[in-house]
Amino acid sequence: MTLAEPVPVRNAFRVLAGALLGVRIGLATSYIRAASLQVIAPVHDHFFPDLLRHPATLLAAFFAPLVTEAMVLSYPTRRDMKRAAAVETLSAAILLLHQATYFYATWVIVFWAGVFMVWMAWSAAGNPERASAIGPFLAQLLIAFFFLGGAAGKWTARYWSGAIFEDLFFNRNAYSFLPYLHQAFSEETVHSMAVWFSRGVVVVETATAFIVLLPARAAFIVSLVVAAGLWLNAWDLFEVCWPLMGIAVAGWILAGAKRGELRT
Amino acid sequence: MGRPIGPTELPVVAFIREMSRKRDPLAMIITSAVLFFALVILSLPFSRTVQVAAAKRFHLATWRFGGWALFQPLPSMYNLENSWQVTFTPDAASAEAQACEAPFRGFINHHVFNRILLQRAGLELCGLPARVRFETTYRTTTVETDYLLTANPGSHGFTVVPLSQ
Repeated sequence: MTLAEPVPVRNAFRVLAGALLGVRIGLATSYIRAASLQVIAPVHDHFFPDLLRHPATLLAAFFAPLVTEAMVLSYPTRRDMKRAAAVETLSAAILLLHQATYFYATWVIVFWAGVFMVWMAWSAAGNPERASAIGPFLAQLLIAFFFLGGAAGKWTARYWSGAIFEDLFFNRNAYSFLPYLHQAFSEETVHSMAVWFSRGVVVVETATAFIVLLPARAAFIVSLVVAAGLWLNAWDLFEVCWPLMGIAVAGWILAGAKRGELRT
Repeated sequence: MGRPIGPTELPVVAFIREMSRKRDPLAMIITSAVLFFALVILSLPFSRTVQVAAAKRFHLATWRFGGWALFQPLPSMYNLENSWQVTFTPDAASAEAQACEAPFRGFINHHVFNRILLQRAGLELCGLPARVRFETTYRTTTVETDYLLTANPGSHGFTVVPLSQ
């Protein structure tokens, strides 16, 4: 076993794997419930192949990375990192295609986080200067990409008017404090809040897509603040925010790789 | 060895410098894939074809599974203006009519088909067969898709068949 991987790359990898492990642990019971539901009340549709409707596929793809994520949390070798990165990406790809999970933004972000881990394990682990020169940009590119995807779909009248978020977040979201505003404020005031909340989301997501052009430190601070803001609005969004934060912190660590310390 | 990023150097500049000095094929593939998907996203406001394709991708309508799978890594969070409406068979309902109103209409997330999957228990209780209509609008483009839900004989769950695409 060799521990000769550069410390910043290893730390960046561990942080990201830790964030993904946290998400998996947080979601574990709901995925067991989802698999049970697939057994008790199956939905036969025109679209998904049988294998990608099967509860066993769901459980295997969800739980397999638990082991490889845990294995890289302390002093991973390059081989451990490669294994974890490959399993992470493959598992997310399967979950993106499974009937029970294909619609979760979580697995889009985890998929790209896995791809970033593949790059760290194969390309950056043996070359700290390359890690520092390329890693921060890749992390910023991915975060900007996620927010661009979120923003472009909202460049419409009903998001700008607040109608959609007022209905989805302010009137019926069990995971958010926003519906409780109705108890403290008049309908008119809550409506006004919903309008400005919605416009704020459109503007912030659009602006965050430009972090790819910022210096590393500023980009990662903005990413962390925006991800924390998302999480504050609906606590069930931890599954999206933690991987985002993991990528941001990993990029930040890689930006410091030049000072880096080949010590192990 | 390459030159690491300086404290004031923009990462995008450091990336271009490093890639022109010595190619990193893996980083190149990742960047190219992201840029391809980013171009698709950026064409959304301008192309009616892309708008229709995006809506139908979320409706699971028209797209073949293989093509749809290739676009699954495309990020989207609360995209497009989506709503649904369900028409039940009241005689077959085992839930109160009042409980079968609000949960099955109004705005929904862009992955509209997930309503059928996530609210399967309620849908079953409110009376099958049921007709589900999804409507997605982006600027001046609107796409509608209808599905028919019929009960599985002898067990819970149901079968979903597209009525129009």
